[in-house]
Amino acid sequence: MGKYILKRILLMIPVILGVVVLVFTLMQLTPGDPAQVILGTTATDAQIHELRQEMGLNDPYIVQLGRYMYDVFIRFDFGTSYISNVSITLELAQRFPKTLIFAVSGMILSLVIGIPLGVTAAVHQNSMADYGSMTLALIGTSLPGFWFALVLILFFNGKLGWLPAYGIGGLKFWILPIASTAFAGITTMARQMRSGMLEVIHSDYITMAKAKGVKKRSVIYKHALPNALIPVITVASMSFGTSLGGTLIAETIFAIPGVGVYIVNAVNNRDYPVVQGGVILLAITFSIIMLLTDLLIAAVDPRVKAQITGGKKRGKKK
Amino acid sequence: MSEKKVFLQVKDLNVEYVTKQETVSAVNGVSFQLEKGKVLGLVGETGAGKTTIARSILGVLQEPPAVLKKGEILLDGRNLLKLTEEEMCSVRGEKITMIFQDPMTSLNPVMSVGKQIAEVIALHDKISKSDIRKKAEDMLETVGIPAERYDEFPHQFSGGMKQRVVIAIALACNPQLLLADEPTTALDVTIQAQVLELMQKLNQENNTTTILITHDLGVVAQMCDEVAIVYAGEIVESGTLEDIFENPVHPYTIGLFGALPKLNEDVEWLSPIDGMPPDPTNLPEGCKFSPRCPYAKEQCICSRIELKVITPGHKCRCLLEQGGN
Repeated sequence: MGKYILKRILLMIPVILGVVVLVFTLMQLTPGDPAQVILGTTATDAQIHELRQEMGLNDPYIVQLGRYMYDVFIRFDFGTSYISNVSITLELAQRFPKTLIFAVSGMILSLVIGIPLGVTAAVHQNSMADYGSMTLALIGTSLPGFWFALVLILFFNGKLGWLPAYGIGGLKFWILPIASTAFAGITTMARQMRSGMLEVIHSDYITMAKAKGVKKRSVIYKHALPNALIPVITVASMSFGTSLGGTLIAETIFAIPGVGVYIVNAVNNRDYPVVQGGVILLAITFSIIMLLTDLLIAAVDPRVKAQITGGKKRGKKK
Repeated sequence: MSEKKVFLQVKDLNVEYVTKQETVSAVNGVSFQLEKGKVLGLVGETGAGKTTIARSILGVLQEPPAVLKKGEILLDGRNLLKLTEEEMCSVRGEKITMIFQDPMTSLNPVMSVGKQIAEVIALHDKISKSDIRKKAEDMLETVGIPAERYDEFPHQFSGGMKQRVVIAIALACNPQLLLADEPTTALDVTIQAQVLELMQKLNQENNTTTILITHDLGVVAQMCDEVAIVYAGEIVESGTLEDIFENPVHPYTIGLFGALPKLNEDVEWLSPIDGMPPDPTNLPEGCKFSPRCPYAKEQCICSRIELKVITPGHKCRCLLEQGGN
């Protein structure tokens, strides 16, 4: 197992290197001159030329790439923003924790609420509990997130005045943004869990467990749930990875300085170093999450674990 | 037959599968009884309702859509259908156990096989943890799997070994009644023989009453004391092994034997029974077999035919035998 983890971590190196090269090259190929962007439309040719020389933009591609990679991997420096001239590393370090709070709390809420909801719906299939939670889930998945966020603001801020409408600060400021993003996550999770659970409940080994005289509760939690969770883990971690890239809509509506807004603004302003830095950060976090997901699945599913460890246990047999 | 004590008695069992669109009548008034230690073979085509009968006895019908309309299932005089879920849990796995049809899907893929055997022991035997493991290991050995493989998972086992694990689970608590639902259908012939031999041995050693569900007449001949032929959710003929094999009377039973290819004859085509089993959502009013029966008369189609005794112990649901002969 340890060997596998090491192998996977080593494999992440070429992936991340590849992402850096790819992103850097793409940015090189995009039309538009960074020097022009920085100096604005009023700059003279001489000024632009001077800045290009200063930034090393006249050097060959390979030299620029080497310099960028040296900065990123050795000095952990993503450069500075063309627009604000602020260090990107610093900016990301400030914004990423906020996005992380979003992603982690959304994830926890959707697991803690979504899974029991889905399990209950599946176990009491075609009952009121099932119809009720699935109607709620349908509403949750089909309503646009921004609409729900606005309704929350109108109600809790406008009507009741309990919670602040936007900005950052104490715990109070987080409630509405997290609620609005977690709602969709919870309902998606509940639907996933329900369909996964239904499939498992009707399988032969569940009947077998019942035939052994296992009580209904244990059948559900000891036999059905671990099996139904396997596909849910994959889905949950994918959405976790995506939300680490920033929940743009919630960040915009609630004016939260997270990674999502930062990257999108950079794209709009052709602030290439910021885009590069953001994409690389996302690539790294995504690879880490995928590794953790695979390890988690291996821990739950012995079939996957056997593939990973190369079926060593079989060797014990004569 | 009536002097000996009846161990299992099924009376007028009716099971339907009800969905919004249609109602499937899977089991229609099945009654039979069985003495302790006997092996009954339930024979019939796919979809005849054999598995539903077994699941009803064990109380593991998939409800919904299954609905047990009426009937009584008496085990040692106790009506199983009147028991609470909790009481039923202590019957399942201890008094009645079941071997399922498909060993590939009958084991929980994320639980080690040893644990799956130990679970049933822990539920029904009040013994210490280490004794449970010991007993589960013994069960593995009994079915011919080395005890070292206790901690392995179902995917590391072949189909035959999985079926033997399923059998080990079914036999772990010395059941009084074993329901074997096509225990050999998913296995190849050599393993079939092993499994049957194992079941036979255990039946003799523990005097376990067994219901063997199969569509393999060869297996029936080898294993059973009594045979019941099931067609469209009804028993059409029942009797001892000799009754059915030496002297079959129902046209369906005769057709089943006729469909067996004979090794000593050079035949180009097999001779199946013409037609298909009736649509269970819309069963014929009279004899369910009448649409396919070469001897069907007016009366067969219109009126319900009852199961009648022909010779002691041998019953048949056919006018031909009841009136004509």
